[in-house]
Formats: sequence, structure tokens, C-alpha cells
Amino acid sequence: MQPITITKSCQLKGDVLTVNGSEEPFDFKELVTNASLRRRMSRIVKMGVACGLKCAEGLPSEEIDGIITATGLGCLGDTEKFMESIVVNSERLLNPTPFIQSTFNTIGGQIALLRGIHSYNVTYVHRGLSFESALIDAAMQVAEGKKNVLLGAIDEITPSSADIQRRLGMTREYELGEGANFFVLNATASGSNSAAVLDIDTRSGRLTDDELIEWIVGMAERNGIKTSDLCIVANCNAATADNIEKRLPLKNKSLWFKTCEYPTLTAGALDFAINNCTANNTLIISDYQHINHSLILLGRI
Amino acid sequence: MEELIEKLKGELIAELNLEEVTPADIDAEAPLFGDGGLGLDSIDALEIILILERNYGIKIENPAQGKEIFYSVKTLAEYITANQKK
Repeated sequence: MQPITITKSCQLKGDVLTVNGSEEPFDFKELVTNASLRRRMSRIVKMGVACGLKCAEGLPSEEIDGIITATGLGCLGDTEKFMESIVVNSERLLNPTPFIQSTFNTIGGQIALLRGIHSYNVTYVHRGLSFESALIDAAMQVAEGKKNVLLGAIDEITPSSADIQRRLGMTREYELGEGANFFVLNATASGSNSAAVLDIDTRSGRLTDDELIEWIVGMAERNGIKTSDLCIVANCNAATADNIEKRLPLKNKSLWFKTCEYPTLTAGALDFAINNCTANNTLIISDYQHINHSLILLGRI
Repeated sequence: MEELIEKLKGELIAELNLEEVTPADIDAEAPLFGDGGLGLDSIDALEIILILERNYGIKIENPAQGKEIFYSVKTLAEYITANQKK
């Protein structure tokens, strides 16, 4: 694939916003000045919109040729509110606001409305590969000549979804997490924190460590990179990460990333890799619930 | 009437998620919509219709009356007093 550059990365976790890896203060009221819009936004919408607007800051709206977002579970808080009101009010007299805000593309849509961006606007909801799908689309958009693409990933925890996921045994290895990440992608390298996305691949279903290692070696080979030169960012379970380190002769120490689990955590791993890896080539190995797997190969610019 | 006005203020704050507003900030006679009052919009109007129907059993039969009924908290309270069934 044609290398695509990530020139800016923003992350919002809790109340902490980082831009290109450095913490930056922000005031949501200054980002969204319309009080009516602000009061209707749920927690995840506020997180995503704040992170997206900060990431798009400095770019003229007409130079943003696409907003592509990813979410595994969407705006859960609003969805739950809406579903609950269906039950409580016997499917009658439903409040419009939670319904309007519960759609998966609420955040991408709100950013477009607030910034007056009328370009391509798509949201990917592909379980643990939502962000990877959005990244592939963003890379294709840039390859087709789009100037800048705003790429984001957002997921939230709510008490009831946490309860359901615990009962389903989805928290056996990691506690649940949440966060918002946004990136600016384009075809030109600029800024000290730029990284090039050289390759992306995804797989679904159970993967043995042998299959994973064969997959990693294959990706390195097809990109003309020695596996020993890779810096691994392990966004997978600890045993797998240890096994990779034992079996691949790596010159660089692997970086451990995964401390929680949510469908779009790969976006957090990408932010981490861009802002912490100094090696020429970084490989992000992601695994969501041992079902969705991805490899993202980055090059330092 | 005063009691109903205060109750309505609380319901508006809760249902419309007016986070930065307290009942004391709402002038019962000030316009709810547009400039000079709470600055509510059409989505809020739908929410108020639901408050009237759910909490007071009142259905506005003639939409043309809406502008008059929804003018302020006081006009809402007067309409509820005149039409309440619950």
C-alpha cells in the first residue's frame, strides 16, 4: 500500500487530553460554544467531539476532505436511555434527544456540523476491528488524493454494559476501558510526531501463537523489513506478547500497551506507538477478546 | 399557581438537561424560546410536549395554540391549571 502519514494525534482519557503525546488543557465550553448543543451531549459525545475538534484545530474546514470514525459499541449511554424509556413508557411518548444522539455516527456528524465540514463522513462499527476498518478507509481516501482526513475512534463504558460484559466473561483478562482518539492523516510528512502507516492487516477468529508469528514475519517480509528491526507495541495478552519476544529475535525492547479492553483500543495503541516509539519501524499487534486481530506497521518519518 | 411554576421549572431543568441553570435563574414570565429567555429550540418543544402529556395528562389538540402556551413557564402553568386531567 502507498504510505500514508499521520501528522497529528489526540487522545482523551478521563479528563486528560493529549495532543501529540503532550497534555494540553482544554475548556469544553470554548470548543462547543452553543449551550443547547452542549447540554444535549452525553459523556461519549462530549469526549469524542472535544478530541476531534482539538485534533482538527488549525486545519481549515475546506481542507478536511473526510471524517471517518470508529466505534465498537457506539453511544451506549444514550442508547440505554432511549431503550429504557421504551420500556418505562410502554413504547409511547419517547424523548427525542437520546434517540437522536444514540446513533453510531453522532460524533462524526457533530464534528462536521460544528466545523461546517461537508465532505465524506462515515462511521465504522465492526466490533474489535472498527478502528482498523476506519484506518483502511482513511488510508484509501488519502491514496485517492484527499488532502486531510480526520480519523477517530470512540468507545465508552456504562454501568449496565459493564455488568453485561462481566457476566459474559469478557473481563477475565482485562478490566474494561474507554477513550477517544483522533488523528489527522494526509500524504505529506510534517511535524516531528509524524508517522507513516505502511501496512494494515486484519484477521478474525482464534489465532495460535504460531499463526500470529507467521503473520508477523509475512508482513515484515512483504514490506522489506527484518523482523529483528521492528519495535513491537503489544496490544495483545501478556502470554502472547512474551511468546513473540522469545521467538522473534528483536533488537528493540517490546513495549507493553494493553492494560484494559475495549473494541477500539487499537487507536490508543496507535497514539502510544506514534508518541513513544523511536525505532524506524513499529508493529502494533492487537487482539480484541481473542477474536479480532490486527497488525499495523508504522514507519518513522 | 406558584407551586406549579416552581415544579415546572424543576421539570424543565431535569428533562432539558439545563445543567447551568437553577430554578431561581428562570423568570416565569420570560420567553422560553428565542433570545431574551432560556433560548430553547424545536427539540426542546418536543420534550415539553412530552412533559405535559406524561406528567399532567395534557395533550395539545390544536398545534396553532402552541406558540401561546409555550411562551413562558407562567403560560404553561396557566394552561396546565385550565386543562389538567391527572
